[in-house]
Amino acid sequence: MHHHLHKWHRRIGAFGALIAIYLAITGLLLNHTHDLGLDRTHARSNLLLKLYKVKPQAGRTTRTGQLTVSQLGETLFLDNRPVGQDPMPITGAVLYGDMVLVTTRGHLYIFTSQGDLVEILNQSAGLPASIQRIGLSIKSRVIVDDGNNYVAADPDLLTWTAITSPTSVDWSDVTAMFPEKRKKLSALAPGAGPSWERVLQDLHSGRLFGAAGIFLIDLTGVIILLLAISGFVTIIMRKRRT
Amino acid sequence: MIPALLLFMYLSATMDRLMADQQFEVPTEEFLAQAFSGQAPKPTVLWLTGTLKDEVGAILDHKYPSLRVRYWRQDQRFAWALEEIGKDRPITAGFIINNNRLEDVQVLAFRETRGGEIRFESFTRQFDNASLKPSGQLDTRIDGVSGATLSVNAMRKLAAMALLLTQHVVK
Repeated sequence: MHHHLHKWHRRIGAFGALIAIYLAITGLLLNHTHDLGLDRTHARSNLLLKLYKVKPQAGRTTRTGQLTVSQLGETLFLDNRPVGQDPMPITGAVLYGDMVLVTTRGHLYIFTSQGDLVEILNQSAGLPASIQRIGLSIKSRVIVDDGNNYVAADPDLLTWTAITSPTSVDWSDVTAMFPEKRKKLSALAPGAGPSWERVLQDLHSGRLFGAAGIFLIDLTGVIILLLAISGFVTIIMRKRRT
Repeated sequence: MIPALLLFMYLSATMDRLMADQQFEVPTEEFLAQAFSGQAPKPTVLWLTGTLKDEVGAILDHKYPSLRVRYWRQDQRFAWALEEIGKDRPITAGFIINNNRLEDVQVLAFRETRGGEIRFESFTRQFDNASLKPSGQLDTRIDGVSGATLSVNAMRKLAAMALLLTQHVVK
């Protein structure tokens, strides 16, 4: 009985050890993802993008003066400089004095022409909940349209007040991004793939390999349990014999 | 085995729910309406340039992400809505300062999955009446919240920043 148990304990142990090493390594890395910067870097590998079913990022662009304002995925660019992240799509941009105003569906960003962020405005500042477009009136007033209503800013862009249909507004147009531009900006954006922290979590839990991966990790859990029990029983039996 | 699996599934579901509960957002206008009894003054902006930018940087240990911040002032009472990263995501906090002392602190937006306990009054009331020491630190000890060290640190820094900005405007 004791011999059989010991033999099985070793067999199961050999099988479990490999996966235990894998779990230990991924577990150790998971405990230090922030220190290693893995929560801030994103996977770019085609295989991982395919596994996570990541679709190609949407690219939209607009021009104001000499500047090109673009958005690839969530990353906003002033010319080729990444200047911010917004999950909602870009809806326009205008040059206002020496500042660049960029709107997404939910925010209005004020940048210097060098790309430094001056302020982010949203509904709390008096802007509509859903910004459809931005433009400059003939009197250089900034106008924002939500599809039904218009709001106009004071000269310092501090307060926004509702106005009735403005005339002679030069509205900003947003167009789809050309493939060459998309390729160029892709190299500068953080990447659409999952963060390496997420990949590690899924490796550790087995989820990255689907149901089979989860089963294997569950099986390892059971094996470790069996090892603990069989090891414990072996020790007791050995003690009893001596 | 099956009971253990069921228990694991139940605990995972509970944890997910608890984590989702940590995130919340209070509109700034609601905070202002409360602070100024429904009659919030018009906003003004303060540009973070020159030595002020450096002093803010020294409190936060990094540059503030925007070049200007808005505030609301009624005599010697100021309201600020400032942001600082807790662990990964920004926390927005509102501060009411009266005669250079903190009168009220509220967490307006919490986007992290852990540490949302800093919104409770048991934590925020520790800031009551705090002012700024010449060293740029709060003159009041703020006790931490278990599991929310980074969020607590962010709140301490933002409170000191709000007091510094007020001093700068009043000067």
